[in-house]
Amino acid sequence: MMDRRLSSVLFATLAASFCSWRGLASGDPKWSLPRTTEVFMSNELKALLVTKEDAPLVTVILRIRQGSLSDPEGQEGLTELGARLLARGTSSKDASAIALAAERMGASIEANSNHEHVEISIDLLWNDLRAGLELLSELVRDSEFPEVELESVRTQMKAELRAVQEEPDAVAIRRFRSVLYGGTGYGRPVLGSEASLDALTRDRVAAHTRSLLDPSRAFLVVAGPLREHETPFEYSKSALGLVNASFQGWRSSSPAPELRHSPPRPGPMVVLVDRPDLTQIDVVVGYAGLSRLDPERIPLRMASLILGGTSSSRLFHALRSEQGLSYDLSSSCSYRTHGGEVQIRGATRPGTAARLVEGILAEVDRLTTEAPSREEVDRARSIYETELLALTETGDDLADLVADIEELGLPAALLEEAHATLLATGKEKIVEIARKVLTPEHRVIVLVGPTAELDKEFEKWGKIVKE
Amino acid sequence: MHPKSNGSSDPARSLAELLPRLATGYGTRTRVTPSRLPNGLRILTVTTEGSPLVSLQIHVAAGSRDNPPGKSGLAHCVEHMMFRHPEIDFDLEAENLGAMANAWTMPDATVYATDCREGVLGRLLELERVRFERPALVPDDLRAELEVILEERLQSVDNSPQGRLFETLTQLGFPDHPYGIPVLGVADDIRSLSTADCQSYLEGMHCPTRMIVVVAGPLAPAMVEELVRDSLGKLPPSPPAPRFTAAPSIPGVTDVHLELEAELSAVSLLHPLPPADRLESSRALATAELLATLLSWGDSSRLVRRLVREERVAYDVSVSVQEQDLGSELLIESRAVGRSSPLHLRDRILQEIGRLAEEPLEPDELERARVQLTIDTVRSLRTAFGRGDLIGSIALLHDDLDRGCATREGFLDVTPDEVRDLARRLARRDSTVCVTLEAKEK
Repeated sequence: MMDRRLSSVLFATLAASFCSWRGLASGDPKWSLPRTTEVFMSNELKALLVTKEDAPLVTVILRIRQGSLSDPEGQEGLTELGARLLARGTSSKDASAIALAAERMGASIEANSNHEHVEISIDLLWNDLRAGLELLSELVRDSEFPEVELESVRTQMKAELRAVQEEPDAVAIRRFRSVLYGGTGYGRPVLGSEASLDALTRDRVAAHTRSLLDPSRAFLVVAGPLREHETPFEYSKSALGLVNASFQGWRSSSPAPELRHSPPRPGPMVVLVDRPDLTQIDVVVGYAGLSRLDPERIPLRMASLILGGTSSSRLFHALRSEQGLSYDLSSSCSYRTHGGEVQIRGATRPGTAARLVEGILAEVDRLTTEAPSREEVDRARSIYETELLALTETGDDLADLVADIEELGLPAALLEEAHATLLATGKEKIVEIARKVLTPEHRVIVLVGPTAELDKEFEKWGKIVKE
Repeated sequence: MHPKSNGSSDPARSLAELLPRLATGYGTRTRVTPSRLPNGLRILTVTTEGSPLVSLQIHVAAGSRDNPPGKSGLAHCVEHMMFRHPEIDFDLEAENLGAMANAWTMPDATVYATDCREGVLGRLLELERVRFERPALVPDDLRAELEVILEERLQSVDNSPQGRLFETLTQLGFPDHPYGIPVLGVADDIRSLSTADCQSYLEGMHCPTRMIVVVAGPLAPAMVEELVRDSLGKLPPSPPAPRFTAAPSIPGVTDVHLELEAELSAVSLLHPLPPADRLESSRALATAELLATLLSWGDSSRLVRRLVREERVAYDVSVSVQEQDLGSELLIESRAVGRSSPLHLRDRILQEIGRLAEEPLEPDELERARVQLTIDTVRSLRTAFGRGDLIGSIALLHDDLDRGCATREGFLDVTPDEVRDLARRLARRDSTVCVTLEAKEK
């Protein structure tokens, strides 16, 4: 088994001569990533080229290792606004020309951020790779952040904030995160607020975004049918040659903005968001979870699958199939660099909200006190194996996976290691991790809907906060 | 034909042969092999290499349009009850195999889709045979499932301004026709559904002659045919009940204004298009696809560029074509920004479409839309599920797969005059229904 971090990568001015080719895992090919080439260019930009021959399409992802955690207090939304503006104007192309350049190839540019990174990506035919790379390169090197486009994007983001309010489940999740992290770090919405967006000026957005766009903090993933086109005699036409030609002139160096991470706050808490206009109550029962780097994330995911991750899970069976309490009932895990969350979600009529929460907590309690059956463990393992295979089904799936591996410094043999952990995880480990994570001390319950009269019913589950 | 088969097979075709202009990049490695079993069941094996994932899909030619009067929601309820077999827990058994099952109901069809790994197909097909053998449904199971469906309705319609807008629009767009009745059903009808209703629907509608089994993945067609023959091939042939076949009447120009507690005002327009199950409609539908693309595919499309990016009156805008057997529709949906009036938004949409009708197209505008639709198809063929879904939905509409596939490429030959003619009719609002939603302060 080969660990990507231990492999040799070379710095190169002309990358073609210095690339390192290798297979990334030694066991069952099902759990191996396809052949990947890693290259550092002279400007420290790292490129990862992955061969996937499922379709005549290539996915290109340029990711910057810095996201909205670097937004200063009162300027929430700054990174996201800047990211979206990247595709809205350079010194030689206005927003329409950029859109046209991509869309006449049947492609569109996605530029956005999350708490931990900024990403610009494009998905296009192999034959158009040169044009796609040149376009992305132009956007990161020469964006102008035009004032008129800033207003357009700001308007869009403010409308998006309103649109989210029409989705009670999204409101509940946002409130859960905000309460869990005390309104800081991961608890602050990437989109910001109407007030914080209004406070942002063009100069502030341009300066902040330019400070993020440093090739030493960036990496590029190209995934598609590269192999048949990679010949030593046609370097200039190869993916590597095209990457090098497009990005070697990208220069920048600036100090990294400060990150504003904060640990989860203790619970238990119950947040009642009163929305008398709604006919249902959306429920989130959430807990502070584990980091993506935590080796126990796989047992935790198995626990979540058994609890509510599938259509035969305990929650689905007890609360949907048996009692008809909710249509959409699930549990899931989110993993981040410095933490994560476990979320159990459902929606039910106002009269049955307490019953739904009671049922969820009873199943959580059962998972932390009673070992799952062998059949449950086998089933979770089997489903998880299929999920792992789906991570590499297509070129764009693979590009996302390789980008995540690179961003988080995960081992190149991630799938192989995950699969081995999966096979080694037994019922005792699942109970142990459930007991560690699903504790009332890190539990936040959020209800969104007609909740004005619910405080008496819910106070037994934590400190009530009414909104 | 497979040596053990009692059915009939047609020659395998490569995807590049079936969709020569849309799937060329896939070469000849992806092959579609059609066959039919003696009980009337059709099989389509879409063979690919690479990923070990398999998509098993059963496309049933029965949907909400086939609900008897007063039994709205029945087809959808039956789809739910197919997961409540009295003898097997389908979800549990499938998930034991690492497979994940889903299903959805549409006006014309119902699809049961399971994504799995190679090696478990035979056991999954056996599970499908058991649940398609029309079990005696248990009243208590139905009672619990109806509660789930009522929750689903609350979530997607009653609790959602967009859901209510869409439901109003389709009711007006297809007056006195099953297409105008919500697939989920109305609450009172849902509550009244019985096990007898479900059994009767299953008997008449879920019969082998109405079913197409699509298997997409790295599998040999002969093996797939054998596995299907040994499972679903054992379903007894039965005479299908007649389907609802009356064409919808063309709606008059209708405007309805809703005031709802919502964050964003919105507008939706529905323009009737010809039925999708006739080859002679294919040109009109291809024209509509191309027009929809010109209007709302990406930031350079006419409506997005003008209304979202430049004038900032719309948060989003989408134009789509919903192909339906008895009468298709072109849908325009847009949400307003800030205090923009939905009536103003409607007028601006229609003005822009009017401009398209009256002014020459930009030099590469039509070509761009053709490329975009082509690449969208190429993208949809990336996954086993996508390949199965595309081929299955074409086969459901057209017995002759070659001719059905040919209709999918029709947009490549549509002329600017045809696009402008449709735009003209839209701008004039010929038979177009419009619903505006005014967001009321909470």
